[in-house]
Amino acid sequence: MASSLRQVVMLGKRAWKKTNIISLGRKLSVSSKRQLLSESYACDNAWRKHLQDAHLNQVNMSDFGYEIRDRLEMSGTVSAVDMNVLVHQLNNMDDDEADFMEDLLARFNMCQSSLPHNDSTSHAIVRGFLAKRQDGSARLVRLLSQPLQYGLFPDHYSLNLLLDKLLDSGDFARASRVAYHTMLQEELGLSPVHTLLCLQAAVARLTQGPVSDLALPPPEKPDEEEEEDWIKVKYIKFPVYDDHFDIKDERFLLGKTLHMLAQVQDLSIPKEMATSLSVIGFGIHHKFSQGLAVLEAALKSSTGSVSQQALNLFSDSLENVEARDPEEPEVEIALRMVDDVIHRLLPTTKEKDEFQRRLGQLKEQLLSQGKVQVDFNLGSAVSAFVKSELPKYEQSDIENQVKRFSHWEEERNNELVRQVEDLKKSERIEEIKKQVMELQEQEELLSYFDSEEKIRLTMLEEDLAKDENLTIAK
Amino acid sequence: MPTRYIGRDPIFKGKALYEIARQLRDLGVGRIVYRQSQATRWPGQKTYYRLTKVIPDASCKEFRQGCAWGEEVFRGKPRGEVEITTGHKYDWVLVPKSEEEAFCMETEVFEVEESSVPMHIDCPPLLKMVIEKDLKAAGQPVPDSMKLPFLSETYVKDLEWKWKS
Repeated sequence: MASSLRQVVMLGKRAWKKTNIISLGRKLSVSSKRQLLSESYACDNAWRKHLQDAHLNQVNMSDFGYEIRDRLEMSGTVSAVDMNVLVHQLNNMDDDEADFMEDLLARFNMCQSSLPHNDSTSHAIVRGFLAKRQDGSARLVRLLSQPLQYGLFPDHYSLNLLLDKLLDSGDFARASRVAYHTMLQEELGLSPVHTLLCLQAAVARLTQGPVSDLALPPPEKPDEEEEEDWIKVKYIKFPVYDDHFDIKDERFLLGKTLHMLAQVQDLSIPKEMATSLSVIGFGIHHKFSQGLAVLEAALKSSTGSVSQQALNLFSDSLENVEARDPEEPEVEIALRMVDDVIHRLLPTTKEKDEFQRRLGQLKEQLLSQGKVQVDFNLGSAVSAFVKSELPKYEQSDIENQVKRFSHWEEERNNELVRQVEDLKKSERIEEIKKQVMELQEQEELLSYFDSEEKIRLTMLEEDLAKDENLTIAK
Repeated sequence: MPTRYIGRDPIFKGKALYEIARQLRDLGVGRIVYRQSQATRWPGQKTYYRLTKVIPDASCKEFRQGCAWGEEVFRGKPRGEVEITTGHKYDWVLVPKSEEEAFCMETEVFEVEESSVPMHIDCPPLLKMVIEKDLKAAGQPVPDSMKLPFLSETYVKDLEWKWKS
């Protein structure tokens, strides 16, 4: 990086243009060279053409946004097509409007019309936020991590665009969050490009720093003399930890992602890489028995091997895990929290010793059989693997996406036409009802003397309804 | 400050079905879910549902209302597609995709004693005599055996409950 004018002059103009322009911003270093997906993957031309649709350009984003908010407040619901049209205008969003849009998305998630989730809407949301100059991808990752509040489930192509931007800018913390999102949906093997990018994100996060940094701060233990806060409820709700959606500890999310990636069938991940991923994943996730089973399988098979790096990480996790006392009494149900439930899942002191003994044995046996690879570096191996495999699968994704743009446009147009017809129909029905009322009144007037008695009775009933103490004399 | 909840002890240990469904892309269609209470009550015999249609109530803030349908396997025996009316109970657990095959395979079947009830019963003798007398008076042929449709007590009670509600 040329840091002075003299160097620029020495380099010459052409050479200066060729060097990577690294911005002087404090946060992220933006490289102008794409590292993972190619330029054509984003299908920018097709997307621009898709945005030029007549229906999408008739509205101004802010005005339409306010209209939708008013409609939500008055009737509590807004149609999915309207939201779709609004969301395609997110390219023109300012920074202060982003909060307003997020609030609209949260409210729309509580409308019945948002189900089933529409791919076109979520794709447009992803594109819109990515087009923002700053912190668009950070907002998106935050929306993805709260599925119950925002209901954002973008398809894998949209997630690839987001992952590509995050990985290119070196934001591995957020890129790994996207990978965790796919892991929680258990869709890690479905799309090859997405699986490769998730693999890259997870391993980059792993190699970014020590794993213990990812752990949550230990929960504060309440003072025993402190007064308890008594809350009356009908039934005490059992704190539930399902080891999937309820995981808050990033180590466990990362570990689960790694060992689920190792089991992906379609990608032909090399065996040593898969074994390393499983062993590290199970270790970080504290599933030591399953990790030891993987090591035993590697020992028994003739071609199995484990890397020294994976064994080190596994044994570090095993040493650092806090073993619990098996005789510790369980916290009473009235005071139990989720942390107590997670605490019960830790291995007991006996189990931890047993695991450590077995690990020592397996290490010796693996070393004696020469199945431990000292020079295997997971980070570099995965980067090379991903870079070599990505170009193979990109083209089919691009072709599918271009077809989907036209399909979405057709669907939207049909839905809009249907909505307009429904509106016209309901207006017509209202008109007819009014006409019927008028005709009835006219008929009453014309035939008054024939049905005088009946009309008087109905008038009497109406008066009685208003005033109960009415007598016939009045 | 530690909070102590005062109330009745919980029976259920799980999540509401719609809370699980709203965190999944296709609302959980095709996934296997089971009820924790049924699993502990009959440990050897698996009772689970493979979801076919889930329509959560999007406006419910606690994420526990909605309708769902699924193919039921009750105590090891498949029962076809049924409506799941207990989705609001905090009792549901999702089975991971990798464990689905193993979960469905290991099950012993509980054989339900099928008790059958006749569709028709014999006509009571006094009523039979009255009907025969009427038919003879009208000059119509008298049949050899007369049968009445059998309505069990529970069937009549169900009908009354449905008509009232």
